[in-house]
Order: sequence, then C-alpha cells, then structure tokens
Amino acid sequence: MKKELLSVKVLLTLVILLFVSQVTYADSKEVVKGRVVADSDGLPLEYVLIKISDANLWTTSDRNGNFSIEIKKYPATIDFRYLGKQNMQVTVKNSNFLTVRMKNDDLTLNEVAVTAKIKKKSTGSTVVLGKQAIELVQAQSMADVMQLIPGKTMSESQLHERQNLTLRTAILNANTQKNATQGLGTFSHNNQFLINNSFGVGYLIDDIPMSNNADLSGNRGISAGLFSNITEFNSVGYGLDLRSIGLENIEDIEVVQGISSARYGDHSTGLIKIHKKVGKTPYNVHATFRGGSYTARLTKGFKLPKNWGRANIGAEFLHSNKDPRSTLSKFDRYRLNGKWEYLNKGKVKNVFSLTYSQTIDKFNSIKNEIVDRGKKYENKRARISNRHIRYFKNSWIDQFEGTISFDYQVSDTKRTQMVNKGGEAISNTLKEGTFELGYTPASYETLEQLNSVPFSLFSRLEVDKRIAWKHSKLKMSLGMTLKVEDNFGKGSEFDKDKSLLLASLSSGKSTLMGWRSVNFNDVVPTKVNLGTYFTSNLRTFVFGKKLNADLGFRYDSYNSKPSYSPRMNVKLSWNRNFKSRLGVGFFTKAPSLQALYRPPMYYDYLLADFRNNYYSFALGHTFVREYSADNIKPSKMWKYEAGLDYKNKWMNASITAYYNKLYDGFTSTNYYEIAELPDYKFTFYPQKKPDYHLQGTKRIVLTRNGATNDLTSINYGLELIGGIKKIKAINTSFNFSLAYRYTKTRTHLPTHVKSKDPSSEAIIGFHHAVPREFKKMNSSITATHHISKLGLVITLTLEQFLLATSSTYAKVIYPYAYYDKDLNYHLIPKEEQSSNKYQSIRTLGENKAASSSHIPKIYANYHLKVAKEFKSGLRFSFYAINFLNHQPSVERINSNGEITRIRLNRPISFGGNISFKF
Amino acid sequence: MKKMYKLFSLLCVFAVTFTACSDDDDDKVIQPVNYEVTVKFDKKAKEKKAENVSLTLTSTTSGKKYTVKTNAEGVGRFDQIVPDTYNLSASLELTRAGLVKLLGYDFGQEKSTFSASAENLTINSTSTLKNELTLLTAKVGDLLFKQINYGGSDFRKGAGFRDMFFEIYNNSNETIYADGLYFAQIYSRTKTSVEQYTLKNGQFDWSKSIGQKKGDKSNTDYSYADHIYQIPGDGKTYPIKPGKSIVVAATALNHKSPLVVGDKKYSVLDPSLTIDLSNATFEVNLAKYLLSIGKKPYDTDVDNPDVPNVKIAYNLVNREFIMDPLGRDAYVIFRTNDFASFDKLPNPQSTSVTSTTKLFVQIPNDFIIDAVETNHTDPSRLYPRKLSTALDGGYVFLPKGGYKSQAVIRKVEKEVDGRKILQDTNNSTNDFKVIDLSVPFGWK
Repeated sequence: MKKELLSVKVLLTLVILLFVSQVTYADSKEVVKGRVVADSDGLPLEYVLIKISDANLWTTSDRNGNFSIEIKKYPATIDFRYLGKQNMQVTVKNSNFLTVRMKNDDLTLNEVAVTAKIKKKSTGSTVVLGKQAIELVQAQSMADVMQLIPGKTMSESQLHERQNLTLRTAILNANTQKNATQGLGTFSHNNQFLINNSFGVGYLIDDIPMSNNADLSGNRGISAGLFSNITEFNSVGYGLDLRSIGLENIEDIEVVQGISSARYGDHSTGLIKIHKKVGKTPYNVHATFRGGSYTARLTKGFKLPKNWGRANIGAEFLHSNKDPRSTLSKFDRYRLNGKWEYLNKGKVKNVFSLTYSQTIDKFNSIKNEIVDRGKKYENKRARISNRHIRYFKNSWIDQFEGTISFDYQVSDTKRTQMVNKGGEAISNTLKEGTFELGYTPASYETLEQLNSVPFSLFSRLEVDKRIAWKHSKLKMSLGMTLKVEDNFGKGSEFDKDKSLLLASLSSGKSTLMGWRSVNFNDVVPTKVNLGTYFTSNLRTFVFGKKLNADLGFRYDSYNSKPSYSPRMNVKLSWNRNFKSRLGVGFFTKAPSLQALYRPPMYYDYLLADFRNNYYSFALGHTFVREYSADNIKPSKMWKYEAGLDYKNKWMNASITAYYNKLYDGFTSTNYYEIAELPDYKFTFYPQKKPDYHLQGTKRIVLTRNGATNDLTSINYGLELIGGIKKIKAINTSFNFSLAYRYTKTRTHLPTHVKSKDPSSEAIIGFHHAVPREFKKMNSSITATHHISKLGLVITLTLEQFLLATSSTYAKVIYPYAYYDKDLNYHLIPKEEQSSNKYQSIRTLGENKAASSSHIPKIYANYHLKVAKEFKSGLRFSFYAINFLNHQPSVERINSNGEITRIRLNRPISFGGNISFKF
Repeated sequence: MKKMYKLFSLLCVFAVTFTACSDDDDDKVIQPVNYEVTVKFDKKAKEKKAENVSLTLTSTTSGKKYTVKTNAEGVGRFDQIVPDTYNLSASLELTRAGLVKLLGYDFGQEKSTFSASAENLTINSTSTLKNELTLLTAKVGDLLFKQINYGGSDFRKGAGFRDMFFEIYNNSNETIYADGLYFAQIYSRTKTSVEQYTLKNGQFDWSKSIGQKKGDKSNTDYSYADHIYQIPGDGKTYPIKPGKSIVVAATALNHKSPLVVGDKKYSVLDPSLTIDLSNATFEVNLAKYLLSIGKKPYDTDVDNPDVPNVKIAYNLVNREFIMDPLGRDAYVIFRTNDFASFDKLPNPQSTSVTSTTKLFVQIPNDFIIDAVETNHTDPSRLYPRKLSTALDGGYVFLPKGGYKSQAVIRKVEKEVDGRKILQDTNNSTNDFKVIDLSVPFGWK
C-alpha cells in the first residue's frame, strides 16, 4: 500500500511538471485551407473535427465552415468528423482551396454497414459495430447490440436478468444444448468458467473503464459460494451487466477479442470500446417497443455560447413489463447523461461527461397458497469523468493526456419470503461459546436486505511522442493508471425480531454457516491497482512490404503483487489484396472485491431445540473464525492469434485463428478445521426449562468455502468474417460469418466427499475434478437489401447451427486421497482405491467412461429487419426474430428411458421502433 | 276456440316431428351393455363357489353405482349399464359359523370379510364384457388405524405438514401393548403407464427386482416400505386399553401456537386450521438419527421432551415424518420379532445395485395387522394400487386435496358397554369417513 501511495505521488509530480512546462511552437511547412458544408443543404458546418491522419495535428472549422490546417508535406490525408455525418477522408495533393461536403449518416448513404466489420486500422482481429448496425438492432440494452458479434446468436431481448457478455468460448449448456435460446448472458447453469470469461471482459466508454469489480449488491457472503447472488438482477463476481451501459449517441463499438493494447489493464477475455460522439444535433426522439416493454429516448446536441464548445444531453426511460416467465420482474429505469466538449484548435481538448441512471423497481411480489414472496432491486449510478488532452509542437512530447473518473453506485436489494416453520432458533452472537438461543415467530416474513455502495476512481496520465523517418513512423506512449475500488455499503442488515433468509440456525440445523449483519464499510478492503505501460506503433516497410506493428508492455501492481504483460500485434501487407496478422499477449484480471473481502465467519451449531406448552428452549454453540484473503491472485491469460485478410473490389474476407489459455481463474474451494463441539446432558423438569451440564465434547469438522485461483481453460477456434459489396443490379449486399470454437475446462482442485459413515477412518475423500470439452460451430449469412434513394433497408439473416458438442472425461467414483479424523492427508495407493474401506467417501453414481453428447442435427434460424427513413426526419423500423417461427426439435432419451423433445429455437418475437428528428 | 284448436294441431305436428327425429338418431345413442363378473376364492378355497358376494361398479366419471349379488355359481350380472370407465369392487361378509361352514376354518373372529377390486375398467360395446375377481382371505385385527391426518394444513396459514399424525385404536376387549409395533409407509410407483418393469396396472413388478427371492409371490404376499418407525418399550411399557388409542405425531406440539417464549405465545396465522398435538403419545423426531448418519435434519423437526420419541427402524430419504397428502402412500402396522431378516430390495427399475441404490424393506403381508390405502382425489387419475386387496379392498382420499386440514377417521360400528367398536371390513372405502379437521384421540 505504501509503495503505491509513493507511486501516486511521483505520478502527480509528473503531471504538475507537464502542466507548467512552457512549450514553444514552430511553423510547419504547408497550410491547407478549405470549407466544410453539409451535403444536403450546402450550409456551413461549425466544429467539424479536422485531423491529419497519423499525426497529432488537428483543428476545427469556424462558424462559416472555414478551416486551415498545417501539414508537413503533400500528399496528406485529412479526416473529417462531425456528429450525424458520415466520417470522411480526403487526400490533398496541393494547396488548392478544399471544399468538403459531408453527408448525413443515415440510410440515404450509398452503403450502410449493418453487420460487424473488421476494423481497417486494427493490427488484430478487432471488429467494429457501426452506428447503422446498432440502430437497426433497435436495442433496449447493450446486450442486444452484442449479439452482432460474429459467432453470437440472435435472440429476443432479456431485461429481467443480468446480461453478461462472454467471448471466444464454446461452453454450452450440456442439459439443453440450446444454441439459440440462451440469449447473451443468462448463465442458467452457473458455469464458473463462463462467469470467469464474462468477468474478464473489459469495458471502455470513451476510453474510460467501467467495471463490476466493486459491486457487492447481490452478495450472500463467500460461504454461500463465490458466485451466489440474491436475485437474478445482481451480478456479483460476474462481468459488467450490459444493461447498465447507455446506448445514446454511440458512434461505434469496437470489440477486441484478440490482443488489446498494453494501454489497457484489468481485463483478459476481451475489450469492448464504446465511442460516443459530441456535437450539434437536432432533437431526436426514439421509441422502441418489444414485447411488454418499451424504451423512450430523447437526445439533443447544441453549441454553447462563445468558444465554450458543444454539449450533448440525453434522457432515456425504460419500462420493463412483467416477464411472462417470471411474475416477479417489473421495473422502470431512467438514465440522464450529459457531455461537454471543449476544443481549442490544435492545442487543447477537454471532455467532461456525466451519467446518472436509476432503476426503480416496483416491489414485485407473488402470493398464493404455497408461496408468499417478493423482491426489489433498486440501483442508482453516477459516473463523472474528465479527459484533458494537450497537444504540443516541437516539444519532447507531442501530446499529454490526463483522465480522471469517478463511478459511484448505490444499490439496494431486498427479498422477502413468508416463512411458516413454527418458529426457528436463531443466533445473533458475535462471540464464540454456548448460548441459549432466541426464536423467530411461528410464521413471519423473512427479509434479506443488502445495501451496496461500490465506488471506483480511475486515473490515467499519458504522454505521446511521434517520430517519423524516411518511410517509417513510430508513435510511442508512456502512461500510468491508478484504479481504486471500494465499497461503502451498509451491507446486510436484519431485524432482530425477524431474520434473514439464511439467518435461521435450524435451516441447516448444525452445519450451515451462520449469517450475521455485515457492514461492507468495515470489512471490505480498499483495492488499489497501479499500472504503468509503454505502447508503440511502428509503420514501416520490410523488404518492400508494409508493416504495421503494435508493441507494448504493461506492469501492473495489484495489492503489491506485480505482473508483467507484454502485448504484440503485427500486420504485414503482402500486396494490395492480402494482409497477414500475428498477435500475442499476456493479460491479468484482478479479483473482484467480493473475492477479497472476509467478514468473520460464524459456525452455528444447534445443540437442542426442546419445546412444549410451557417453554421453548434452544441451545446453540457458535465458533467464530477470521480468515485472510491474501492468497488471491489475479487470473491470467495468454492469448495468441493469427489471421489473414483478403480484399478486392467486390468482396472482403478475414480469417482468424486464436488460442487463449486461462489459468488461475477464480473459483472457490472448501477448507477444513477440527473443532470440539460441547456435548451437554439435559435434565428435564415439568413445566420448566431443562438444565444442561457439560458432559464432554464431540469432535467436529468446520468447513469453510473460500475463494481461490484454480480454473484452467484452453480455448481455440477459427473465425471467418466477410462480405460482398452491394451488387447494384439488385441493390443487395451480403455478409457472412462462421465461427468454430473449442473449449476445454479443468481445475486441479479436488472434489470433496464427506463420509456419512461414522465408523469410517477416512472422513473426507478427494476426487479429481473431471475435465470437460465443448465444441461449437455457428454461421450466419445476412443479405442487406438497401435502396438509398428511398432510405430503405431490409435485412434477412440466416443463422446456421452446425455443431454443439459437450464431452466429459471418464468419471471415477473412487477417491485418490483422504483426510483421516485428524485431517491428516493420506494418498491412497492405486490398487486400494476401489477398496470397500473407502466406500463412504466415493462419489455418487457409478464409474463412467468418457462420454459425449451433441445435437444430432444441423438447424437454422431466420431473422428479418426492416428500416425506412423519411426526409422529414421520421424513421420506422421493425424486426422479427425467428420470423418464420421455425421450430426444429430433437428427441432425447433420458436415463429412465423416457423421451423428451427439445425445441432448438425460441418462438417468433418481434418489436418496432420509431424515431423522429426535429 | 278455433284458434286454440289450430295451435294445438301445430303443437302436435311439432311433437310428432321431434319424436321422428329422435328415432332417426337412435343408432348413435350409447347403448347400455351387460357385464358379467365371476368371483372366486383364493388358494385355500379354490373349489368353493363364491355365492352372495356384493359387487359394485362405480363410474369414475359420474360416480354412478350399480350393485348386484353373485348367484350360487359365483357369477354376478350387471344388466344395462351405461358404457363408461368403472372401478369394480367385491366384498363378502361371513359370520364365524358361516365361515366354518363355507371354508372349513376359523379366524377366531365374529365376522370375516373378503374383498377384491379392480380399477379403471373400460366397459363398452367393444370391450370385454366379462371379468373375474378373486377374493382373498384376510385378518381382522385388534389394533386398527383409527385416524390418519396425512393431509396436513395450509402451508401459509396453518402448520403445513407439521401437524400430521396417525392414531392406533384397540378394537378388542383386552389390553394390548403398543410396544414394538411397527408403522410403515408403503412405497409405490405413481404412474399407470405399463413398462417392462411393471405389472399391468402400472405398479412395480417386484418379482423383477435384483435379489428378489420370493418369485411369483413377491407382488401378492409382500409390501415394500421406504420409511418404518417402531414404538419403543420393553413389551409392557405402553398399554392400550380396550377402546383407547395412541397418537403418533410428526411433532408433538400445539400447532395452533407452536412457540412459547417466556410468557409470549406465537401462533400461526389461522390457528383454526390446525390442531393441538402436544398431548400425543409419541412423536417422530429424526434429528438425532440423521445427525448420527451425517445428514441434516429438517427445520421443523423439534423435540417435545414430554413426549417419547418413536424408534427409527428404516429411513430412506425423508428428513421429517411426512405422509403424502396427495395419496401416493399406503400405511400399514405390523409386528415382527425379526425385522432385521426382512429383505431389502431395489425398485425393479434399477438395473444394478451399488452403495447408493435405494433399497426398500420387504414386509410379509402375513405380519400386517392393519393397512390403509390412500389414493388420488380425482377417481379418473388414480395411482396404481399399492396394497394387496386382501389388506385393503378399497382406498381413502381427501376430497379437498392436500394441506386443507382434512383427515380420515374410521366409522364406529357399534357401542358395547360404552366402548366403541370400529368398523373393520378390510375395505377402507367403507370403513373410513373424511373429516374437515382432525381430532386426535377424539370422535366426530
């Protein structure tokens, strides 16, 4: 901790030095002058961002659309950017006055991209989801947009459960093997590897990370398991819930599944970079309807007086109706955001943004003869960030960037349930010992309530320098990042007279871990991540071939544990058509606060519960233990990828092979300790509580669940993505994608089996965990029929599910080692493992040979989307998922010989969207 | 007057037309059929004709009943019955002298009843219109199930399954000791589909169980239990006087207000739905037993120190004494000195036996003193029979379903010197009635 504070001081000193340093300007060689106007009406455009490609020279147009920009030499490529207009790139060869006409970024453009595209400038396999693609999805949450990632499948929107993104994994639900039905991130089967995968996805909104690391809002305590959440709204230990990301003013989304820049730490599986534009726009109203829910959004961008720059504001309201599958979900959410950008031509850029969102959950309850329960989840989140960039000329640096952001959330989760168990003994003691216990009422409403206030601070300081010689260009950046995460929540509280759902002692009678109020403020450690990085981009020629290489190195210190991450991406252009790519990198993801915090653990044992018409007497014994979480390390991943891009006049295609190896993934395991439980003799009296006298002790084993690093998974696969350009005669373009994925998961942690036979010498048996393998192959073809004159787009997507296999290695029911009564560890010689001596510590069931199951057929799903734009600013769109309501099914024979039919596609679902600009 | 005449003639025409139409449709009207049942005796009296046996066909859809008696040849004929799905039952009551005369042996009882039944028979013009039933000899016991509250009460407002109990009554004129008496919950299959491992009525064909040694008799002469409890005592500890009973409660508490802390009593939401079992004779408490085998007891299984606990003779899965409110169980009481020698067999569906295979205790029907079969509330959705019809020729059910406070209680046949003698015809359909709230030790 001290070390890190010192580093922070050094960093701050550096910043101050930079700000006070005087910078001299020198003249450049040439000046390009010109004017930017709107293509539609010829009116000048102010604040168009005009930038020389591959240099830190930029300016903005003035009120009349005029600009002048310095360049080093002809020819030069100039980029023009303006919110609501299509980005333009112009190559200037001489000093003639340049007039640039910018077209509206809408369906009247000649070409629209409605599927994921390989990012041109990327040296890796990064794909980009453009504005038109995002709009056509008619998303109600970011989860809908993420279905556009090649290899993902389309399904209806899910607003009632956490939505987590996983990347490059083949893991599928072995029970249903449904490909298309699970949506994005509903981990119905709680696969730890999937959770780790989703946790490893990093999110950047305008270059500022947003994460789920400090969230404890669904936390039930590690004793309930690392990934146990109170409601399906909570996502403790999972990746960021995609529903928490706003969709307004998105320019594009980059999906980095390969090797991301060393600039970014604290992610492993991938990086989602969301770019939002700032600029003057008309009022824009969006309304989306899907099923029983709707979203309404209003955005407006305007110019501030004088030179104050521009600002955008937006408001979004989501009403999510009852999910037909769960009567307990109904909520409203609104989100407000504002963004202010200040530009001082060529010198300073400052972007300040503020987002506030609030989820208002009606108290959802269900009441009938058997159950009476309810739940409520409310969340408020505010994010404030400021990014300041200074540009220097002829200095030892070209550019300095300072970023700071705060993310503050308050979330309250509440779950109630009517319980009628005739009164249960409860213990509230915080001390170790034997106590007479209190009771809950005979029937009462239990309450599980949690207040979580995650907070995170992020800061980044970076200096850039560009060097050019001959035909080569080198851009170097050196930076530091600081991330502080904490949770100030009140944690779990409960009424003394009532009890938390898990508080009653008797629910486990003797073995369940006790549950106490926990104040996160007291027990949650402050997590500090400090990173330093160096990145470089080199563009040069090797044997006449164009080479573009990204090389970087990152040093991270998480709670004083260092890690070193080299990253590299190289792209070589063989000729005009062919490019090849190669990348390798190392990634770490620090544990979430949940895995780190350790409240004291209470082991409550109920020794007696005697009741008659005169008294109720319960006696309990509590052990209190404190554990540290110092052993938790970041999870790690090595990633390799190689690819080939092909492009000609009428088509393009990219193929990428990847290999990712995760190790030290987060999971939890059991730890044991021997304790002596007092044994009392009771003397009973008529109409009076019994007396009790200690008559000895009984040896018991305390079991504790704790977080650890032990998941390993190997993921490899092949991705193909490409498209055929618009064929003019039929106004149609085609895009295709194909993804084959393989995943093998394993853990070295043994599975424990506790003996139920009191006479057995072995009390806990050790078994090897069984590795699993998954294979998956999906493809999709999208035909886009686009008539730009009419502003009409019709897309038809055919998804094909070619392969879905899950295999399990052979299962052996015999233990390989055991703990004796003193918890001494003994290995069992191979020939003795099947001995009856160890019968009581065998796993359930029978020995099984390796087995594999797969969907015995290839099947398809079809989706339709239509959008039409009118000159008046009105736009309609409509979509239908599985629009043919195609319902293929397979039969599966269960172990008892009965046959179940599994439907492979979800039934048809549709929705619509209206947007209006004025 | 003329007008009236016209109107009358018009009505006549209508009437004639209507009748004519009916005649035209006659072919499609369901034709009643005749149905014939031959009744025989089992093993000991195979050659004797079963005369004067009461046969009853009960429609599972309308509840309509037809009753006939068999003739000297043991044949009963139902004439003109409406095609439908029926349950068939047969019963013959004989006096002691009548029994000796007919069969040449004596049960030592004033009255003996023989019964038999068959369920879900489809009777129409295309089905077989003949059937055969075999009357099985049966014992009429001295200890009887008097009352069984297997329905429990409302989960939210009442006590759920906590207030379940059964009551055993001494129907004889001598004191009987409850010590050592066993109570068993009979396990069975609940689907009627016929599989390779079942009998024709969908019940398990136990002769196909791995390790079965009883061959053909395994289905007729034995019952299979998953949970068995035993009354403690040294043989002379728990007397039941004539006309008295014992109550074995799941939890011996006053379930109306199950918790007393200091001076404060905590009640359930609607105490009128449940009962006071704090004075039960015995209670079932599994906590100690479960802890000794490393299993977790269930939340509600508290101990009343004033009420002795029964012994756990066999426990397959349950963590609390719960009878099945839906009617999937049957209940028997039996005595044996050699419980340990009973075979434990896997259900016939099991293809191999490992350490984790569930085993069921095989109880010889000869040892069974009394038995009650329960079944589904809806007669069209009956589960396959669990007990041999020699033990119980009928079944009981709860018309309102489970968790509605309903229970079954045996009918009083007569009263002798202030002592009630309960009806025992070995047919629980006849012998029991349903009550809306159980009355431990009481009458209704």
